[in-house]
Amino acid sequence: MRAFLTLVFCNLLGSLFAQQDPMSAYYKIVDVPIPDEVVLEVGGLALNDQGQLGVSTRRGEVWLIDRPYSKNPDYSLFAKGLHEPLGLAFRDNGFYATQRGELTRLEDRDGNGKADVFRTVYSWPLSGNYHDYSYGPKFLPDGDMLVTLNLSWIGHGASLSKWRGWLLKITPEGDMEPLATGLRSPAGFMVNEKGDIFYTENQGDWVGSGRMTHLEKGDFAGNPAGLRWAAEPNSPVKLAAESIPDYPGMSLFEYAKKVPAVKAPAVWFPHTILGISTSDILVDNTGGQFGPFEGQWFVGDQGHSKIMRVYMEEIDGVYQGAAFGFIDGFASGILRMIWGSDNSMFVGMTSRGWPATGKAPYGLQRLVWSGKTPFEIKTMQAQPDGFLLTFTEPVSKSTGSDPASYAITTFNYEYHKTYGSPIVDQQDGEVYQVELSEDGLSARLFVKGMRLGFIHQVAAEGVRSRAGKPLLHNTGYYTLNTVPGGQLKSAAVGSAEDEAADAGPTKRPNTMPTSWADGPEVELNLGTKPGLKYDETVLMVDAGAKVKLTFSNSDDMLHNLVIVKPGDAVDKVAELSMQLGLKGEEMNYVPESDLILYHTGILQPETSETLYFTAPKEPGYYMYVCTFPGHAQVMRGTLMVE
Amino acid sequence: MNVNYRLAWLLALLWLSACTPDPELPPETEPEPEPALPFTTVDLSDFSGFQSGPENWAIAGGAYADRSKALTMEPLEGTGVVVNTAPPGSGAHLFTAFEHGDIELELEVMTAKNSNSGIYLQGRYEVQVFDSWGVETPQHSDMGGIYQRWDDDAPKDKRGYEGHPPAMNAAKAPGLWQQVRILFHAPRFDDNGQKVQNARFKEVWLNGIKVHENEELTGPTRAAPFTAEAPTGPIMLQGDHGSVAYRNIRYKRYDHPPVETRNLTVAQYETLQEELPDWDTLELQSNIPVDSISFYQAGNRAGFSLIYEGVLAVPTTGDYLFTAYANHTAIRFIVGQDTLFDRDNSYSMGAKAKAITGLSAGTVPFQLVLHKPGLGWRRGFGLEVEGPGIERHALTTPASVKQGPKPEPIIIAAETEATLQRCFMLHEGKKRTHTVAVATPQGIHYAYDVERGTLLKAWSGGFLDATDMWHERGEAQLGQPLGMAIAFHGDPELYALKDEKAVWPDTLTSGQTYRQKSYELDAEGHPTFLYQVEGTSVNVQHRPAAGERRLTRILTITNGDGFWLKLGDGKTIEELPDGTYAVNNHQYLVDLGEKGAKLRQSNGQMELLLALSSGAQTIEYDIIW
Repeated sequence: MRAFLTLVFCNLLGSLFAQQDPMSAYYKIVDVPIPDEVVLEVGGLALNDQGQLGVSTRRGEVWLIDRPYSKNPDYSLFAKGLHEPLGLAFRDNGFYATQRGELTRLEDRDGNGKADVFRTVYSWPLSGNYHDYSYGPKFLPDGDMLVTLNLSWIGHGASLSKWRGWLLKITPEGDMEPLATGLRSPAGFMVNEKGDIFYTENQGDWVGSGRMTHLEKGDFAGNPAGLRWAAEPNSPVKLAAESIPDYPGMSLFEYAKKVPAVKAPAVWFPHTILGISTSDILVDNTGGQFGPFEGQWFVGDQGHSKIMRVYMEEIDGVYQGAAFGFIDGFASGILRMIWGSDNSMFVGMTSRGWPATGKAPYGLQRLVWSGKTPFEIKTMQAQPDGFLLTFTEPVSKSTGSDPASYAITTFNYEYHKTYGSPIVDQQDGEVYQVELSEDGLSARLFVKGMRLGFIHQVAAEGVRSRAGKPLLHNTGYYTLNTVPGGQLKSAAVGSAEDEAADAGPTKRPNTMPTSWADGPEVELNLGTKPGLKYDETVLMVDAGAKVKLTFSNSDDMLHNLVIVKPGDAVDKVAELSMQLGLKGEEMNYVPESDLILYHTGILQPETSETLYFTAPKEPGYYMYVCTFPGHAQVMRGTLMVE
Repeated sequence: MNVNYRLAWLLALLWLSACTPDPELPPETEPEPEPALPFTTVDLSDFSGFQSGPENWAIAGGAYADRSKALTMEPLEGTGVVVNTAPPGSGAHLFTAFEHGDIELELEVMTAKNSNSGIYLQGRYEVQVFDSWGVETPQHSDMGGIYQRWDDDAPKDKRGYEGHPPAMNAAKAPGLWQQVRILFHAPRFDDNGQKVQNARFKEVWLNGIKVHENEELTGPTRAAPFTAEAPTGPIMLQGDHGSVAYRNIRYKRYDHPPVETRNLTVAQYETLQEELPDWDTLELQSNIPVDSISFYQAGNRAGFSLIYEGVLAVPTTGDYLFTAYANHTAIRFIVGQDTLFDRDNSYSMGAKAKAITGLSAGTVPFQLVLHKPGLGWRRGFGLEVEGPGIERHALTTPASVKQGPKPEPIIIAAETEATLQRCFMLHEGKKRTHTVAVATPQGIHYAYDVERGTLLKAWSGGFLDATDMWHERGEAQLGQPLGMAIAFHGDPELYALKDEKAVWPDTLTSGQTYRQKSYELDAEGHPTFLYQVEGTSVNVQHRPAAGERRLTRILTITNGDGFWLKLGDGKTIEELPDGTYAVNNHQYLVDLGEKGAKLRQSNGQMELLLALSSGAQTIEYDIIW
């Protein structure tokens, strides 16, 4: 019985992965083969001056890979024994790695291909909490280095030892200067060609959704845990943790307007639509060798094994821009991205402890441009009264100039202590006029209802190329912090009518039917385990039994419980849930479908919900699944009705 | 009931990081000693604790065995130690005056080089004592082995049988006191004197390592003086196989039946509230009679309170020690009128709460509350009791303490070159977060704290279990030594003492500037650790010996002016006749050669310090265990 279930499960998974991102016709994901005996849980990637690819791993090894562009690369072990180095760089004939507790320079003094000097550039204290991850280094133009320090986790983010939640600058001689705080999980950060610093953040406490923030000295990016050290003499941040109320009742943008030390993000990545756990940032400086997105930024996502694209603008010193989907379907959870010497992108991955949609426990792949240009929104620029879109190929005059081809919605996230945020203050805007350029490559959108501090979802669903093709990704998410000239000139629209969400009350029976005079016949309890798991993979009930099922979420992520019909219903429901877009959050990521029998809402960590239902009369292997985006392929179980 | 009531806490092995002390905060005060029921000690001021005092045995104040001289041992003046000086083949055994059935026995033993002895439970079942220093694969005839049985009538190669080698060689060097702990269950007989259950070594521990578990013996081992099995017998210390010394012999006899729970009921409530709720305001889910106590009464999950009520059937009057532990579950335990435990849900399974209370023979009511608001995957609860003449046993079901399936271990092995692995490592119950563990091809491994510049631990055998680091999120992030590990003082080892009375700093807040510089690997992969303290540069190397547990430390210092080097600390440090020092109750020896060290009493313990001379110098010394 058990073996049979497992087999069915594997087959279902197999079918799910057969789907390919249409982008794969333009950008190919190519494996860099990994020898069987190497556990390449990628923490850092860096090319050395010999053109070898250096890979640091979560098990503390540094591998050198010769011929990483070929089908038979050669791995040699450069160093081992480090403590989870989650960043690697190469400079001045040596590698730099950030271990949990220090920034280290690795040198091969005798030239035998193995590191023999491990020099501590700078060491910081650790609390002993596993969540004290450390990232970097990245080099500033003057040769100084940056590292970021993750918050500890004790049921919420905390800074249990000094400088957790901070961005630090460290000179090659080992002098340290704290630069900015408010960081929660700063796994990805980079320095652009101007020397400005950006980091990506993961949804969590005080972080409504994934985002990218421009960090300057003295900035506070939102999570107050790191402010514990703001009173230190060398802290450039002058803000007391206690001064921040748990529920300010506004967006981070609004709060930043009130408290100048607070920095609002440059780009938001709407949670579950553009990933769930942003990681590395990589600027396309290939001079067009990687396709039409020269100068744009690619952002990895660990949980969704995908890469997003960002068109970034700087307007009067304020960074902001648009995020687009780019490509899905990598093998494991993306942590690191660097350019190869052939202008392909190396993508380093690990899923240990944090499962990803790419099922492999770890991986190393390359993303290679085919030379063909995908039909995409190339850029999206803010205007005082609209947006200017450009396209990678000419669009047809009829579709491109028709305002009905475009739709705009604005929304926001709450800034508060709670983990994540619902989408709030959502409002439809109006594209009332479009001026299409003669060459069909740019469209000037005139918009009503733009709002500063909001995310602007612009969907160009109706736009077709001159050849009649639809856009591969027709939606951009622009975070509007300011507009050129500083004066927003977009007229307001009438307030949008709130569409009442119909969650289907009969499918979410939270109270015991009054007809159950003797109470439930079966009481079931289902919990969660870390790593996207229910704590029971099989529940058994008799056909037609009156069931009381309590689902308790004791994980540190959001989950729901959706009971579906037997067979492939679970996959269909999973697919439908991924297509909910902005509506997903309010619908608890539960699509409207006859395949669904019962479901809970989305449960915050440490909460529970009880369902009362009558088990199906038809015996069979019903399934239960978490339809929170990215969870459905692994977080499943079987409800055996006998 | 209230007679002799005491309450105390023990918070040990707190891996939960929230409770790990911040390295920047001042050190905690010493934890209170762990509550325990007393042992009976064998008085070694004379032979009154033994059936007789044979002349090959002497009462002494200590013993000294030169590691280089076979079979020689010198009794030192005083009392508290019994020393056998008879050469092999001669000498009588020592028999305790008391006899025993089930027993927990602890003692310390020292062997001379190449010497041999044995601890015979009931004069019948032998745990071997032998100089097994340097042995790689121990046999039943090595230190800590359960010696084989013998059949003269069997074919020659089958005469010895049922010998049990220790799980690993945990024997220390000759001349060091070694700790032995034995939990023995006597054979059982029916009314007709027929044996119905074999004798059993439930546990045997050597130097803190469990070397046997549940080894059953069908009869007496070889050379036992009593060949007929019986419910009781005296302990015999073997005296005819060479020089050996024993001390600190103490025991608890377990002659009473266990404590039982009776009239058990359990009430169940649903709640996610963090603190203990007012259950009167909650809906009672059920209140039913049960026959045992288990964490899993409410299923595999969180969000509940369980309230057990019943009585304890107490076999005999006296002090009872209760131990409770749970995985992020609040515990309240009330016996009679006394609240023995009232602890919130922030503790993991390793943090055991202990309390002693006096109980009278008969029955006493109790209430046990388990409150599990969250962290549903962290499961398990255990409640244990020990009493006067009652061996410690669980009051919970065996399943109750289960925490879920164990992952496949991830082991880092020693290689032909030295191998390094950074990790967190426990030292005296606290996590050291900047630890470099080093495996050597010689099989001597050690851990060095680069954040403080000090040696933490040394061990031999396997290298490191990395499961806690590399399985899933690696929440404990601990490297676990795979052998009997010796713990060193763990303080910064170089310090500029103001004067000879100044207290040695035990944290990073020593006030002196310390900076770890680097480590460099030589051609065989051995690291040299470099650090700077004030203006002085220090290089530290460790050279393992082959074939014995010895680690040579070499410190090269650019300027020792005003500095002291801390070599060891502990309750006791003993200078031996050959000039070596036995540190912290004979945990290990420090051999400085000709250098003169300073022994001092400071801050409640002994310390062994070396004053450095000014200018550049190299200090070399050995650690032996």
